[in-house]
Amino acid sequence: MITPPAMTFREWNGPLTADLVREPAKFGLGQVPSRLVPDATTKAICGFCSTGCGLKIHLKDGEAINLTPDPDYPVNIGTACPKGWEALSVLDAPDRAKMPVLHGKEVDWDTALRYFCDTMRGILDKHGPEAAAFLSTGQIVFEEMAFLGALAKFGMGMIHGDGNTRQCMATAVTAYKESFGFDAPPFTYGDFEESDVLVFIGANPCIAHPIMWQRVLRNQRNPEIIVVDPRFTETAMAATQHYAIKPKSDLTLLYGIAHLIIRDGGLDSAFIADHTRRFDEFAVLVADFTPERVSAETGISAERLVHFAKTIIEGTPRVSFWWTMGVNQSHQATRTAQAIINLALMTGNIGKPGTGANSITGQCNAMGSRLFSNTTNLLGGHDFRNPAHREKVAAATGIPVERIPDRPSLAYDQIIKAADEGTVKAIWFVATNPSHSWIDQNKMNRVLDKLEFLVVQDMYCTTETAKRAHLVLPAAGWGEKEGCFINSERRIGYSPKVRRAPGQALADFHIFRLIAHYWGCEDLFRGWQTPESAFRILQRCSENQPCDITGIEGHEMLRKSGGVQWPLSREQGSKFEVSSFKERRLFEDGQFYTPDKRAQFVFDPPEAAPEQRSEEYPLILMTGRGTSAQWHTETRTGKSAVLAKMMPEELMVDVNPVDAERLGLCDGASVRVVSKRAELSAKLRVTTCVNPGEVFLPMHDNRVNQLTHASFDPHSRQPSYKHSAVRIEA
Amino acid sequence: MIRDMERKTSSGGSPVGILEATLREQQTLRTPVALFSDEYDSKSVRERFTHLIPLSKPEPGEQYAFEVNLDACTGCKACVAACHSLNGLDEDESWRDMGLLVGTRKEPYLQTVTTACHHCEDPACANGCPVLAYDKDAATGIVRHLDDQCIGCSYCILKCPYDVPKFNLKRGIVRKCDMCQGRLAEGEAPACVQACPNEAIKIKVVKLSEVPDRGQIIAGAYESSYTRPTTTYVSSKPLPAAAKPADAGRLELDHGHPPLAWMLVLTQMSAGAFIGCAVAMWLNVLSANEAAITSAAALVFGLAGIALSVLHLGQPLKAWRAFLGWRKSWLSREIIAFGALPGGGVAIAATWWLGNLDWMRLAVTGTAVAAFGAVLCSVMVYVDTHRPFWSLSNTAGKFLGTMLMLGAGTCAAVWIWRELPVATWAMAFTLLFRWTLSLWELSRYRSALEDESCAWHRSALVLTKHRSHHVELCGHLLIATGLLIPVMMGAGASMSWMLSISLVLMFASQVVERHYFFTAAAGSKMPGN
Repeated sequence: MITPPAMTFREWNGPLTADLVREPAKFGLGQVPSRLVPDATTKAICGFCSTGCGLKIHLKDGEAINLTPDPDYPVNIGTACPKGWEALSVLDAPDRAKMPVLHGKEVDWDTALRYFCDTMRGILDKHGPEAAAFLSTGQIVFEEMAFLGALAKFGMGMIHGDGNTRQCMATAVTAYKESFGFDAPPFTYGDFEESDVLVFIGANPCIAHPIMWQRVLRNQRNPEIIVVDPRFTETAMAATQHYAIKPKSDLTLLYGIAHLIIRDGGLDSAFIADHTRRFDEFAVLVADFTPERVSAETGISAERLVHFAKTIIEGTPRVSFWWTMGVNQSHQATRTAQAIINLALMTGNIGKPGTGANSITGQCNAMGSRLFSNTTNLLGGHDFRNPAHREKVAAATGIPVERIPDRPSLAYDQIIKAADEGTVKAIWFVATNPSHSWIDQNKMNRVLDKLEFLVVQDMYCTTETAKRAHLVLPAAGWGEKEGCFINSERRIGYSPKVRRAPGQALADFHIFRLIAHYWGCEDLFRGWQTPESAFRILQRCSENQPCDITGIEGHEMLRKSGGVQWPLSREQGSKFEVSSFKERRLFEDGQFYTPDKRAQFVFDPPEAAPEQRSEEYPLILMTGRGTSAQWHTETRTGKSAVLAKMMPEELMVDVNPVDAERLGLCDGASVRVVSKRAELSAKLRVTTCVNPGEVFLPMHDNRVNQLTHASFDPHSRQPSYKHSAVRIEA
Repeated sequence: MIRDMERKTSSGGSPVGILEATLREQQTLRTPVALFSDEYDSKSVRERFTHLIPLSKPEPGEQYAFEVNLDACTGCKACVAACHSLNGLDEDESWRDMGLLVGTRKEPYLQTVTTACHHCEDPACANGCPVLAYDKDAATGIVRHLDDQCIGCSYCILKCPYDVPKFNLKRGIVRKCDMCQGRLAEGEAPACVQACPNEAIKIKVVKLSEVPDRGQIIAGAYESSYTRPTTTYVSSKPLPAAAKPADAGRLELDHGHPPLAWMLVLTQMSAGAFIGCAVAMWLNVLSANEAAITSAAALVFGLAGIALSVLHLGQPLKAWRAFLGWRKSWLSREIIAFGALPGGGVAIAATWWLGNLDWMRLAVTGTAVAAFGAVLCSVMVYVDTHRPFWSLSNTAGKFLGTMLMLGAGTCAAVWIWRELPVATWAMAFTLLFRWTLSLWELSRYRSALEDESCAWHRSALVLTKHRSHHVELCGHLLIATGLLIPVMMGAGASMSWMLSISLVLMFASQVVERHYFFTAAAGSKMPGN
């Protein structure tokens, strides 16, 4: 753009300067760019991760034009990570799905819906209710998840449905259920600020949950921060103690720490006696985990192990334990999570400020999925096998009880296995991209290609899975529809519709309503008119459960109050005040959700990871988050030019200098990373952030899961992404 | 609306009805906005960040500066995103960037480093700008870029040792951080300060006398004596001595600036030809007509070079202001000096037309001196960027060598066509300059490559990694012009054709060399990833 000069020696102002002029905006925003001055604002919850930040949406003529983090939201207190800042720009991507696509050709909705219903019905009629399954997500509002689960199981008659939350949170769910009697993360983010000792196990919040880390840094108690991670991550750098254990020796380490806490007098015997079960058996197990043994198996010196245990003993009763994918994605994930819970229980670090065995969740609505997706659990954390539960949900939803299956679904990997074996013939994927993200990806793709009918419902028609689909249903994204998310600390927040969806993309809620109509079962879903009416139904389902939310007065209350943490029963609701209900933790009375109200010590001896180093594959590959600007398979974050600036342009494999030297390779060299299953090319990043014998690849590149070895935790069926054997070649 | 439709559908309405209603509903935004608009924060931006910006304006002898607390920076990059969003920048534009410092095998270390403009006390960008498109505010010390004054010459990009100004292709100008001066003036924090979850970025008032004029602001940053950057990085933990940028080992090509490469070679060729012409005139071996033809050739090359340089500008219509920066900017001086070329051409033409050989000799000599001065300015334009590859000896050697070689080559080619005996001398000098320049360049490149302590070792590595084929090509052209063509002439090939081809090939060789002069410059920057 060539502009003519003004007839002055110096042009202090002009059209190019005007481009960047900022002017005061109302709504407490301060100055904003002149062309982005809003005429109104509203509040939303970020739709990326489980932190659940509040975002203030700037509106012009009712449409979102910009956003800033919400300073009044109790989660993020006015800040957001780059993904949140860029939440609107990824909606404008040119590859948004705008029309249904059937066998590669755009069709109208009527054709697509008829085809969907005819084909699904054909398969279910011919092969029975187990022949079709749905795979849901932690990325959509829970009113939609619940509608999907209810429609597929109660309306269309499917038995099997699971979610991509199997890849991130299934372990925490299973661990909490067994230990506490309900899937109940006990903490509130305030605990980050209230702890004297914070123990992070397999978690890198600096990068993966930056706004939670903000809460850690707000801690005024000068806390000890312990990080257990094979890698020297950003969080490890910021910690006061870092234990770089051998990959997947975490369970051994935790048992070793339990051993030392018992040996060095760190037990809260009164709490153990009054509120727990099976401690004695646990003590017998950990008696064998002497510092010498644990040191040999984890690579941490006995002296440092003692220091670790001593830090916990001295920090009690303000020690909080935090874990995420490093623990959850393991071959013995559930027991590892429970080993963390055991440490909290035996030291009484639970139900008090700055304590807890706390699972940091992954996706924005993984918690909503855990309660309301109607996959593993019947709506509201109920059990499909329990007749009383089925009756209760039937009454709450108005669905005839005989339409509610009396058995839970297969887990994700079991559904895929069934598809491989030919018993499942149709899968309906909603807002997830397994063709990129599932472990041992090549095998997954071979199974997907076998399916008689593969439906993908997504914002983008270019995801790896959508490209394989027979039918793509174009979905509206975050900001183009309304509903609620539940974050890691059980906070339910409301997110409004502030953008028009492109083309004929429709909110998932609308799509489900249309399918109900075309399927002919809309009478069953008469109550599911809007997300808010669905919310009312789900409230009724939650009644008298630990996650009781009957005290919430609809979306408007959520929006006004800065979110509400569950539980909020009718009784609590009548006393609700924003200030006193801002941060609440569970188990303050020591009463757990088990029948005898006692928390249970659950444990098993550690086992070696299924795929070990060999001469041919001498390195252990770990995968995980790349940068704070990247989200999972990057269907969204890959669309922002600003976020693209923040990530490496090429796939980098982190290798220790010792291994690089042994291989005769220098920093930046082009290498091949080879596993038994596949190989890929990457650039070598020589770094001390990984130990010798270990390498790291970020999960966002769509080739990385071709390498990973498919093993699963036997209890949670969660895939183990953190331990595959590879070699590196020039 | 949808509910009404629904009722109709279930009582016998068509599926198309409910579809249309749903699609219409999806496109309707009114409801939520009407319900939930006009939100006010409990505290305004101004109130929320008072502790992160100074309470009072800088006094005389003071200025605003960024302070980054490394202990609080965890690399979330919210500052980068917020700068983009809150300033309404282009798709991939942000005035903050994030880099990484790493340790060694024995001393593992990891530190993210957020960086923006350092609002230097002695800003190199402003000192180099030919049109005074930078203004260092007297009261705040903020180095502000005047977007409407900018001609898009990119010289500030070469001048800034921190890689701060960025060229905006869409607008044809450079843009950079202004420390959100409008926000600061109203007591509001800059976008990046507002965005940091950990309050790692602050605005401070610093005394100018206390701005360090030696050392580095952080490992990997350029020596502070050049521009006196005001940003301070603080940490409770001392940085390990071995900490280095994560991208320190990466060898990347810089921008090639093709119009500049051509412009430099053409103007140097022109200056050399004018000098050759003047020398021949003083030796009384050129008639007025021959001198006119030689000067005309020199002038054509010079004007072509100047014309090409305009292609380099994003806002060429504003280039008339390029004289404004003459007090400090070598680029401004270079432009003024080359401005003398057309004048010299007119003087030479006039004296030739008048038929006065003495005056004409003076006119040619004057033009040659002006052109030589302009070439010296060209040398200083690059030397003044403080890039090791563009050191005085390197740049002067290349530019003056090109001038002599192509000047002699032009004279030789023109004179051989005119069948002048002096062409033999010009040919001999061309050959001498050809070999001297190439062997000098080659030996310097070799020693820079082998000597890790050489200031431009990195440039030599970039050349080897990315441009070895260019160096090779120059070598082939040397053999062609320095050996094959002379041998062929000795064997009786047409002298006039051979010398013309030789000139073209030498010119090509210098354009290739000038291209990697830019791409291998290995400009300094703040730590990257």
